Amino acid sequence: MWQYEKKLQYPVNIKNPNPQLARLIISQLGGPDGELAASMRYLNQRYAMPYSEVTGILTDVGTEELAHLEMVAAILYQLTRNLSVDEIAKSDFAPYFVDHTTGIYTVAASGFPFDALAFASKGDVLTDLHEDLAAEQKARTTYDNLLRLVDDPDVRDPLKFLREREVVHYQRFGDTNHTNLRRFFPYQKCLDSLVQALFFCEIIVS
Amino acid sequence: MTQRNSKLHALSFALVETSLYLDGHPNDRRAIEYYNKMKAQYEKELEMYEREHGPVSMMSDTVTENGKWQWVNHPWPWQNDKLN
Repeated sequence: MWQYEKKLQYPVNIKNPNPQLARLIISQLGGPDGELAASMRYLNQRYAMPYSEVTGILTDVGTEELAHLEMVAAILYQLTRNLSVDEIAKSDFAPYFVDHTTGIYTVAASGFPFDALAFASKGDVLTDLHEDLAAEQKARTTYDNLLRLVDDPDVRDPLKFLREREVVHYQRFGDTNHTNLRRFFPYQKCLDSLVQALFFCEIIVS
Repeated sequence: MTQRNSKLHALSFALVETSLYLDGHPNDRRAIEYYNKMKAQYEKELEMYEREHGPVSMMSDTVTENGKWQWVNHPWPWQNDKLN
């Protein structure tokens, strides 16, 4: 079972509301590579996972993704509070406002409501772990795209933290290639070079 | 499922149920007393449970027992075919 901790995993303190940014960042809440999709993907995959160490990783990463979902919602909340009708009318946020006011609703930046197809779960160790490695990369790309579009340092700060976590989760899923799981990764060398490429990417971005 | 197992579930549920009620009635002294009583019992029961079944939370003192990460050393709660 789960228990809630009344704190964010990493603080979110945004001074200036910006509904335009909220309209973009919402993809990490209700988009196909967002935190909701990530959390339910990993938590549901646990039951078909025969290796306790990997079940542990799925449980703990899936749980952390729920904390990320809360962080993204906190960003959206702070970006859309104290807005005047005029500010809303002038922004791309207006259509969302018509449907949801400033309530948090799971939708992609492109306007598509959350689709459960994003909860990939195949019941096969190899397939699911490759899915998860890809999912972390897709989420990392989405955060990279957001960081290209966002200037406000108050917003960039938590986004950078969340991007970093995608990289770490990718590495933890990659760790499952050691010890007894090694035989499940015939593309060991390919994976290793991917991890190295990520480290390199990390140096360029930071 | 063992007796001890059931008692921990009952105490844990008592805490969930009481906390839910207290959210809407934060000044109910009888409920506060009941919560504290159940919480004390839960903590005692949890200690015994974890000694047998391993840590139920990452924050548990037993999670690093014997210098080893115990989190992944015990069956997961849905694996009742592996639970003793």
